[in-house]
Amino acid sequence: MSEAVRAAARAVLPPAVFLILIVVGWQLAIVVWQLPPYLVPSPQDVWASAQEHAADLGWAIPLTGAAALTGFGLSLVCGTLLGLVFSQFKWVQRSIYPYAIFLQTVPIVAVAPLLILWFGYGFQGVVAVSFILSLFPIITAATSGLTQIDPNLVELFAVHNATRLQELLKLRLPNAVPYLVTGAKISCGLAVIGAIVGEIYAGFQGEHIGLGTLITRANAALDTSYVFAGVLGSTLLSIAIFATVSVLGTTILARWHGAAGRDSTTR
Amino acid sequence: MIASQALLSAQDVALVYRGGVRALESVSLELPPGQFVSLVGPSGCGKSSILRLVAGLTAPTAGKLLVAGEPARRARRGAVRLAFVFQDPTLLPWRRVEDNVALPLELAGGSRSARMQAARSALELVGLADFARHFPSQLSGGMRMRASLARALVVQPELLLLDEPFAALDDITRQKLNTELSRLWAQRRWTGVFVTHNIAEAVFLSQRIIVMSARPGRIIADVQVPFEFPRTMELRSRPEFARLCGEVMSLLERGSR
Amino acid sequence: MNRRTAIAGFLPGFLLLALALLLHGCGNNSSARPVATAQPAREPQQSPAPANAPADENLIPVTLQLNWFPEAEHGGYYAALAHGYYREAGLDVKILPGGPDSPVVQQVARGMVDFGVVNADNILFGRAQQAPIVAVMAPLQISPRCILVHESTGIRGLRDLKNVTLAVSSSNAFTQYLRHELKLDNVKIVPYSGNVTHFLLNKNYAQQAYVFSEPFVARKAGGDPRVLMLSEIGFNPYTSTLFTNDEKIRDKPELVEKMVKASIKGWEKYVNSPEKANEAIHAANPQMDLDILAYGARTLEPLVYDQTAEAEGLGTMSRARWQKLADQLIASKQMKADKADVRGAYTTKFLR
Repeated sequence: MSEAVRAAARAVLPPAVFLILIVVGWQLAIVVWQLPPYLVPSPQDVWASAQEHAADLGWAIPLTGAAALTGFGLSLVCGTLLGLVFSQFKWVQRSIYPYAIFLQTVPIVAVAPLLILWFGYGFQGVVAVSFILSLFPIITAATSGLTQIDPNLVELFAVHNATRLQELLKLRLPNAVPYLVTGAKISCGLAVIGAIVGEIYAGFQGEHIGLGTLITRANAALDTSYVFAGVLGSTLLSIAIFATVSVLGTTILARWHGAAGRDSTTR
Repeated sequence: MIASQALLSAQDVALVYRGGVRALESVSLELPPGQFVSLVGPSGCGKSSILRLVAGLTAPTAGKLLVAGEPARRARRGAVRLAFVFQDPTLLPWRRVEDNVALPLELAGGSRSARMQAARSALELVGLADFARHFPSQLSGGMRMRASLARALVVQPELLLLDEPFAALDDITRQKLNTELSRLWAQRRWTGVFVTHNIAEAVFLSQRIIVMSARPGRIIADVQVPFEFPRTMELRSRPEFARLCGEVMSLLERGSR
Repeated sequence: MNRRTAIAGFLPGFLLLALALLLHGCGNNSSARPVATAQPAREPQQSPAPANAPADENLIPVTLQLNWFPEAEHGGYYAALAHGYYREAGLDVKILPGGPDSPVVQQVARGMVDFGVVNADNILFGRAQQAPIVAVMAPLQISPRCILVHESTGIRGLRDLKNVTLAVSSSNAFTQYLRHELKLDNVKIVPYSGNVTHFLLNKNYAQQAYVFSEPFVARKAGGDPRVLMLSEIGFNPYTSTLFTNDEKIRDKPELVEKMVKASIKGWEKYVNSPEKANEAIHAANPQMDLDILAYGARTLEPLVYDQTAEAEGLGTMSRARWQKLADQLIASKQMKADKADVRGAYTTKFLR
């Protein structure tokens, strides 16, 4: 077996085996404890439901995905901009940053009606919720990345009479990249959750529905198989997005190797 | 070349950091251009603070400190070409070695081809020409320090400040780099201010050693080092070398009481 | 963590989460906001003074789980409690308030509570998923579910609904039915916000409501709501039905009978003199003002006593009605025909 095949096997086999174990365990639990369908569907029922509703799921996953990616993208841009402002103006950071914590703990029930008022129902409203939920990790990452710099590097730039802009572009922003990658990995998952929750408050409209609405409707009819199929869909969506962000992040960070452990002394 | 006025002139300089730490007290010093001087003293005696004052990174709390006749910060912007070598190599990990070395020229403006050429020359000076396209993480500690030196030399400095640059290296590498640094100085004769804990290193490299007391730092002795240039490894085994080291050592001990 | 463990971690994590969510349950509830205005009571039916009420220790403890916060739609049950009818029947009934997503069906199915209150569509959904639940009494013959529009739109019936924004919750069966049954020309469907604020602000806004609740609130705030009853287009599930599980009916039929009879008595009282019951509801749910509750009780009266109930008695249920509802749920794709169990969903044997 070639090295590439072996490497692929090493990556894919363990999660695949784990998945099989979970499914088998799940089926066993239903049989052993006699769990009725109105509580827990069996793996076959979920699969059957997924196939039956393949068309709806096929639309729902990309729809929710699009909203999540848009919310995530907005978080990256706005979060980084906010981090920039915080890093350049200490007094702004000191007065506003503590309230950014609010984003971490925001009870969406209270905030959603306001978001709908400003952004409307449909795609924009869903994106708004997704954005709010995924913003905070980027703000912290950007702020940390732009301010936690080896003081020697800052002095190096000072000694060579760098302007504030030069310092920002050539030192602070590149320094922030590893932090932003970590923040992005956390934020993208939250964006998916945000999109699903957002649909409950701002969704519907148009012919096709997203995962949030789909799961809520299935829930209303006690159709547990369909609910699980929907959750399966959202899991796949999250994995896909997270994996993409991770791979992109690793590729970008290839240049930064050794950045985390700053270029410090070695024996 | 600069006229033979003192390149560095400190008169009764005191430095008190925020929080009340008295780093320096009534330091007076004159450095002619082209001199290599070492600052030695116990930990916390303020020798690094002197470097930071000269580099314009801090201002004195009292007294006057002039570089090429101007306050340090202003001098740095025009009157004198200054470079600083830190204790850590402080290379930007996301840049290749040659881009790191070219950084000071990049900040000053100018064409890319000109500064890359200057970077190459600087790397050749320190013997790292083959590693120009590497990333810092791919270099050993000693090599990174040499890259840091190259970055300092790329601006063709008139005044070079070095803050214990070789402290974190093993003895063999350290002595090798000492020899290299001495050779580089002998070629260009920039003014060098070298802070170190290592007396043998100070004696090996310098024309003049300034000994400082414990905090708050004061100058307690100003020793001439008579050995000729270029300095070689062989110097270290001479008895006069050891004797001078001993002399400096006892001055140090007296000062830390 | 690296990619592999991340992926491996996600899947079971999500499955466990889903499991937890489901076990926590999903009682679907139509949100109901009771609205009340005073109205003269119908012929009062006096209940005999409880001369031989059993002693405290002999009372059988019974739990009754509601599908929402206590409101006028639960009035009869609170009346039975407040006037001592349960006590007379030898039952120490505890009414447990519900809320959004109360898993009433699951709780009753599992025997965690003795009785529950849900609407007929929930019963059918439960039975379709093999939940062993049975409705034993239906106090509201006509569903209070309606759509509110502004008078000024000129829309007079549900089939004329067009050119509006319609706010309805996906958690309700009627929503899917509406979308299936009506043309809905140029109607933008949006999620229900939970209150009448948007309605008051926007002339072209329509929303779901319960007839004894939101219209009152909207009028009080100066709006001009017109009520379009869902029962008018034939969608009319029994509302606030009392239900329990198969096992209880099999093993403790006398208990069920006592519960049903006392509850019927409670509902008879409620439509005539709701005051004491409304006070009990207000105590259990202080957000519900007494004036809304009074309006609610009044408005409920014709829903409780329609022609059928007048003829056959309060709480009656018919096979035809249950079958029709099942057919509607199947047609609107909310339930599968082969899973439907109409026969097992209800029983009238405790009503005589």
